[in-house]
Amino acid sequence: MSVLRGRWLLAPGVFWLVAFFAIPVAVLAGTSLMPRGIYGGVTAGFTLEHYSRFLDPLYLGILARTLLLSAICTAICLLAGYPVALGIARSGRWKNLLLFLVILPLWTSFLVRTYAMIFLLRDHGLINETLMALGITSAPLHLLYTRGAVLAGLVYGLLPLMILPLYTSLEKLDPTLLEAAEVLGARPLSRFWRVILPLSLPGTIAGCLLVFIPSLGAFLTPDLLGGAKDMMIGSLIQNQFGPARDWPFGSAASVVVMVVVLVAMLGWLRRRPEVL
Amino acid sequence: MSEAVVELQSVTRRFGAVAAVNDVTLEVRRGEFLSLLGPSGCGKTTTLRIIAGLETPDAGSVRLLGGDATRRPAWERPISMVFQNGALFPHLDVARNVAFGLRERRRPAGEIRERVARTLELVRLDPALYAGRRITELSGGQQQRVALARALVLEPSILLLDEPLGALDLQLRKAMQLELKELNRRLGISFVFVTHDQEEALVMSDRIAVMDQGRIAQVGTPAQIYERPRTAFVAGFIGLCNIFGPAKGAGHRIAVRPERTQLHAGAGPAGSPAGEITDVVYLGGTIQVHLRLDDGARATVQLPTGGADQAWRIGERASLSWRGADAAVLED
Repeated sequence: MSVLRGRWLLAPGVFWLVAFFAIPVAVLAGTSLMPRGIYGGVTAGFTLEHYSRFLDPLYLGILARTLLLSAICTAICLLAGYPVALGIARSGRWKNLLLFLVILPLWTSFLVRTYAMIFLLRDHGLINETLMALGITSAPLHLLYTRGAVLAGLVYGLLPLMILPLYTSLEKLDPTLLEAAEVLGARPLSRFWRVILPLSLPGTIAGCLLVFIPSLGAFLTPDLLGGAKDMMIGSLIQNQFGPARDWPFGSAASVVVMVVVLVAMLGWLRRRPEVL
Repeated sequence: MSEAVVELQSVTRRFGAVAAVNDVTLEVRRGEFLSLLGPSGCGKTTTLRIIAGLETPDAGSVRLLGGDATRRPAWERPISMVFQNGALFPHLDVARNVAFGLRERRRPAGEIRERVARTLELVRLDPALYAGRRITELSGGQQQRVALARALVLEPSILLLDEPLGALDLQLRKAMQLELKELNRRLGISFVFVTHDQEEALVMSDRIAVMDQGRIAQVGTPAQIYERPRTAFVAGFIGLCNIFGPAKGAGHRIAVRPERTQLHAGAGPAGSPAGEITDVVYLGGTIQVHLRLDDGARATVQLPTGGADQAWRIGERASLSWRGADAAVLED
């Protein structure tokens, strides 16, 4: 009876995932194997040409650049988010307020927040005006429409997703373990490396996935802050389904990204099965 | 043998307005088994944490092995500690838990392996069976053995134990009590053992320090504490005790153990406390007779069974007497 009950509890979530994830992914995979229709969409048939087209150095370069930028974004979020999460976990009665402040940006639309970045970064934006007013620079620095701007925007948008799981695993870390390490001879840095870091590994991995995967698929931030020079894979895919009207190629690119992410994750998790 | 390895001198530790440890002066001698005994909140654990270096005293000094250590960080003290719940590292297996302190001291791998195996054997865990186990695969008793091994492997001068047997069932607890006592004798390490269980303290300790409200109420051998309690608190906390109001002329109350109190039917000699029997409890080896004395106080007398000299009945009047040598004069 309890098994039956347990199964029924899964039903709503399973329905949602099948209806809005599994079926669309199957449609996507199917689309990627069919010839392109003239006005968008597909025609009947089977072809691998979209995948072979993706092997063009142009597209592989976009994929590589996207992977690199996402990895850097994840690393920055981790390095910036870890001390914050640790600080909040140890902030006693300020905990809830600080957590609220971390979540606060998520209350506004991502689009609005990205536009706000433009006001900060543009040639006559807040940063440049301030620098010039203080006499530190004489001409505006070119900040907007650079890779740095994309990175800054991604980090800003995704940082809370790193901090929250990190905080969760740091918060439940038993402080007695640190005292035990201390009495056993571990200095503060050693306690961090040998106790805090390994025990927060599940949160670290969850945070990295939550940052890495959305940054891989991001198209809004690269479009708005990066200009047209450095295309990221998210923008490429969005283009195929939008202006370019090449659904099969967009689908093929999506499938490639999905496979790359899945293979990387499985390989990583197989070496660390204990985190799951 | 009486050389002090730990000397606390007028140590005070406040949390807000409350002095958890209040002007405590205490010595731990080389090789001895000293228990800090008291009810929860009496300051015994805070005292232990001050010795460990996990708390810094607001006043007073801590000397370890003859040198001042008041401000010395925990990781530089010649001390190991066993925590209440074991505090084993869940991400490390048994051998790595035990090796934690040796790694911190950068000992060579061969030496670590050898010492870990030797120490696991010392706490009666077969290294071949347990070294690779995960902590979550161990029972509570096994976890405490690993915690003990993790502390002992460092060959500390002083081992602190914070109610390490608290979570174990009675049977295992009794066995571990004797094992700890044996380890203390065999290894020559000074043990400071925190407990709220008076029986445990009596069984294991060379000396007991009874604590009450942040202060040390009395320090002495189990026999001294049991037979010559200095305050009503000590008398009442360690076992049952009859406390009789000041006799005429004398200014102090006295304490007499139930098994040292004699019970007489009817009224006794003039001035001896008398009252009514309220309950008779058969305990197998002994009978406990509870009385409500005429002055309103309660008393208990413990008699051996099998004497059959007298059948005590509830509601009857009886009086009490004791030998002068069996009465402890209380200071408070």
